[in-house]
Amino acid sequence: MLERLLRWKIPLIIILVLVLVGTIHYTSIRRPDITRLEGILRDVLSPFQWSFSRIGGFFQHQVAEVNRWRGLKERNLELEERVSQLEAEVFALRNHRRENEWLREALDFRDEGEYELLVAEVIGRSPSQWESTIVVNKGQAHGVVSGMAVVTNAGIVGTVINSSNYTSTVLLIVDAQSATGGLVQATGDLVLVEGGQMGQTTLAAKPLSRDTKVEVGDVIVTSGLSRIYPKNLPIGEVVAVESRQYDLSFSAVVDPFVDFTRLEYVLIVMPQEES
Amino acid sequence: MKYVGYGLIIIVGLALQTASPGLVVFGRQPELLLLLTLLFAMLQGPGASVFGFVSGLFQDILVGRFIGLYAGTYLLMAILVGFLAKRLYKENALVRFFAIVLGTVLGQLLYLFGAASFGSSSPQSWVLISGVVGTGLLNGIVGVLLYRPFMALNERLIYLHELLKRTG
Repeated sequence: MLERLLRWKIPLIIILVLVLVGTIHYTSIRRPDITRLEGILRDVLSPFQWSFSRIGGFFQHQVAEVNRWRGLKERNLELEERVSQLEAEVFALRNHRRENEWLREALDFRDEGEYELLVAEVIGRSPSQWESTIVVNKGQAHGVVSGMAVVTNAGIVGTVINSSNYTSTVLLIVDAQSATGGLVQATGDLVLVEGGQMGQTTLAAKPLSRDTKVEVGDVIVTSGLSRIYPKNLPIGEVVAVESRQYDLSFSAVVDPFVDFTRLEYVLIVMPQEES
Repeated sequence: MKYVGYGLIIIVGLALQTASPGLVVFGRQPELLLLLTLLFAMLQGPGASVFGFVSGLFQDILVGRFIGLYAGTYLLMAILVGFLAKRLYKENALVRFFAIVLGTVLGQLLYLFGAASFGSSSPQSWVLISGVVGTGLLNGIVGVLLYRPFMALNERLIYLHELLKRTG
């Protein structure tokens, strides 16, 4: 029995292990293009993912609706207060915008707010908790390629890491593999915003210079240095500042503006055509 | 027949696992394909390693990185839990619970270790511990609840398979 086992099973296991180690090694580096087989599997699976996402979304909406009705009166009072605050803020911002437009014209700045955006529906997410990715229903057929930024109106979501014909995988900024250049809006100090935090729901902002100052409540926006994200897109708000060993440095806990558990639609930033 | 059934189980499991918003229980998401592999291993012994390998490979292809790591991990977990199930009294719900928790925890640690060996950055240790243990416990609870319906489904598939084989 053992001899028979040794005769064919052990060589088979050795070959299998070698093949697996080879494929793991080959695919350990991030690849902009996926193989044909991967593309086919993803495209075949996407209708199933879409169906289950719709069903899940329906139930999530129902639960959210019940919760919304519960706190409607309190919410109304809060909103009235907030509206009056925002009216005052809008007035100030209008003044700033007029001033900004005048300065742009004066300095001949290119308006960086004009991007071509492609709306995509979220149809899936990573199968494991150790990767924070989502799958959207736009792929190479729609002009989506690896490296494109993905945002919502609330802030940045992540970057496209690969795409099949009709789907794309987006690495979320909360993933451990993600690092984004950011700056503190109030001071303009540069920070590196990294994922991989507790529950994959917060980010860590690490200073790039010793003089960087970050306080709770500061807003972190994209620095525009990475060439992936356009400048000044909101990332999140600092909710805590943690000192590191011997107080030589710090790490700020950033609460992202985007709620990654409720993503339904995202915007893919398409490259601007050179004029 | 049963292979078509197993294939469908993998596809549905994968679609459920990757649907957004996914299955969230107590703020955590179960590792469905690993759980299915472990349930199969309990029912069929180490023979479930093929199911584990194929489901892991499908998951690998969807993730797109370290292709083969989930396949290898699920295969090993199927063999381990399959051997354990042969020696333990798996009719006891508590035994099943601990076997699934063990398989899930070891499987995730093995995957993370493998990914780290090939250059992936690991999450912070406390994130890792809470993630691994939390998912292990959740898989254990869901696994105990799913065991009986899954056993019935498996028996039905085997019965249909035999029936088709005999009747040609």
